[in-house]
Amino acid sequence: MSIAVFPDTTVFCNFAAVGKSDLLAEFLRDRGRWTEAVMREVEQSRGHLPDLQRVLEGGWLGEPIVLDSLDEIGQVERIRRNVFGGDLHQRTKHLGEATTCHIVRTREEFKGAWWVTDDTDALRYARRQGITTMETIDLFRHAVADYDITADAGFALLHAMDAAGRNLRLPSSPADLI
Amino acid sequence: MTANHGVAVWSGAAAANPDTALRKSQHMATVGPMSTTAERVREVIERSGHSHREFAELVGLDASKLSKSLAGIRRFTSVDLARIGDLGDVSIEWLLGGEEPALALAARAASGSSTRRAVEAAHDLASQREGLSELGHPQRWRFPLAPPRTGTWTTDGAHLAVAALTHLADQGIDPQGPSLAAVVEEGFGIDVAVRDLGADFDGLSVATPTCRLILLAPTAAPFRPRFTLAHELGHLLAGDDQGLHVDADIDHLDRSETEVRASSFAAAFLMPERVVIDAMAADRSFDGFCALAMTLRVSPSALANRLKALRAIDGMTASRWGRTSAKEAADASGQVEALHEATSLAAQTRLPGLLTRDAFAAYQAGDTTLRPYAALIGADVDRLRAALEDDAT
Repeated sequence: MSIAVFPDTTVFCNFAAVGKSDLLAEFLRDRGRWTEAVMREVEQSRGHLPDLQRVLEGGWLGEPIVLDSLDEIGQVERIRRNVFGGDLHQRTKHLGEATTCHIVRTREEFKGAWWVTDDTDALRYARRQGITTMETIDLFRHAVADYDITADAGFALLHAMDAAGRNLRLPSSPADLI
Repeated sequence: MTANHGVAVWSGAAAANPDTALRKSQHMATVGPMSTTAERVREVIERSGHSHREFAELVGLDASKLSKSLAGIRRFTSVDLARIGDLGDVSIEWLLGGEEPALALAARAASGSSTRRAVEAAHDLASQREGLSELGHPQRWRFPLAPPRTGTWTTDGAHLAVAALTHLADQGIDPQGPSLAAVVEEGFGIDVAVRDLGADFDGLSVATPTCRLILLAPTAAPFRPRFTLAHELGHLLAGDDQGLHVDADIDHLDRSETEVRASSFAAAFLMPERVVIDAMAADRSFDGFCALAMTLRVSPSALANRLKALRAIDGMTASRWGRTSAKEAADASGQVEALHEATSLAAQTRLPGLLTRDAFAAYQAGDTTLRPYAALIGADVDRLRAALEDDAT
């Protein structure tokens, strides 16, 4: 079974910002998964990034993973607040990150799963917790290695995401993606 | 300030004021402590005044799914409960069948009152303390053993102050330092925060299983925060309340036993008997009195009352000297600079030093992101991270 990849909401937004949500689907090769909380965050973001509709309708992430046991919901709430600084009064804030962290740390079927995020703070925490992480730039590196995209085209797209106001690590040249 | 007296919000020996708006909220009374999540959601819906269909729409949930969840056929998800919690302003813990955190109840009950912002801030800080404790970074408070009861609350307060001063002396800590907040944090392990929380508030203390906290308001009165802080310290060291104790106006406390003890503690802690008796023996003049007030960083009226209680001066002298202003005391004793220092300090806000230290330690250990620490110190997390990780600065 291939290892699951969990893009954070920010990653979906990066691709949607340049109208390339389909390219993310191609990069993930049916390994992409998401939690219900991330799906809801994507739903909420489609107002300003209409290309996210293609993510919601694409079906390539499968059914969202739902947390509905009382014990797990309690654990996620503590992660959301204690680890990610989630507000006491805005209970959906950072819920996507908290549910993904919880899932990849505790669910046997997602052992070794990759978490893709461009939030430096979340990356640092996840790595210290032993979670395998990637950034959007790493997705492009894999895609270049797999001949899904050329380094020049990847370089151009990442910089287009930056130009669209996205906050992510950038290659200084196409060679950085090789 | 309003005459809002010392108020114990729940439990504890000093739950003294049954009329307070801050008493434990009763709006959660219709479901029992063992009720299910579905029953609690049902109560939130009823309180919202919406129909089930309207409520489902607000939550972003299909109406049939809500019905199934309320009937126990489908389980609520983490997202459902987060949205329901936001709509009903109830915690996830409560929706899951647990107790509503006591400070959350107090914050809700204080809604609309003059102390709302203070109680909400206390709730936020105590929640951060609880979170750090869960992550293995607990607060470590260190209290002296409370002396045995003597039969009078005034004497109990004085004895407790002696125990507290001995506790500090054993650690080599000078209680007369300019920042009493720093002394309390270092000597007792209690968090002390000073925040601008509205006009009608002096101070409060919090005692939960994971938190000991004193929250004060900045003020233009140079010596007021020291007395309020010492008063709240007295409540905590005496173990007066488990939960929250609000002293909205330190000048108009009620005469309940624990308030008497806390005020007696504050007087004896800030103006130790031996220190004031020796000082008056050395110089019984008005100028000497003023110099002592400035040295101890207390108001002339507080010192006059203390000297009178110790029978070091008579009632007429106490009445006359007690009317001295802080400025007159500073002028008479040549300590204008000390008054400026006290006034400036009293007007400043202050981050809880221990809590921020522990939050940073949790970040350093990789147990949290930087976000909780950034929120605590009021910094933008991206700028803070850049500043911390930029070797050049």
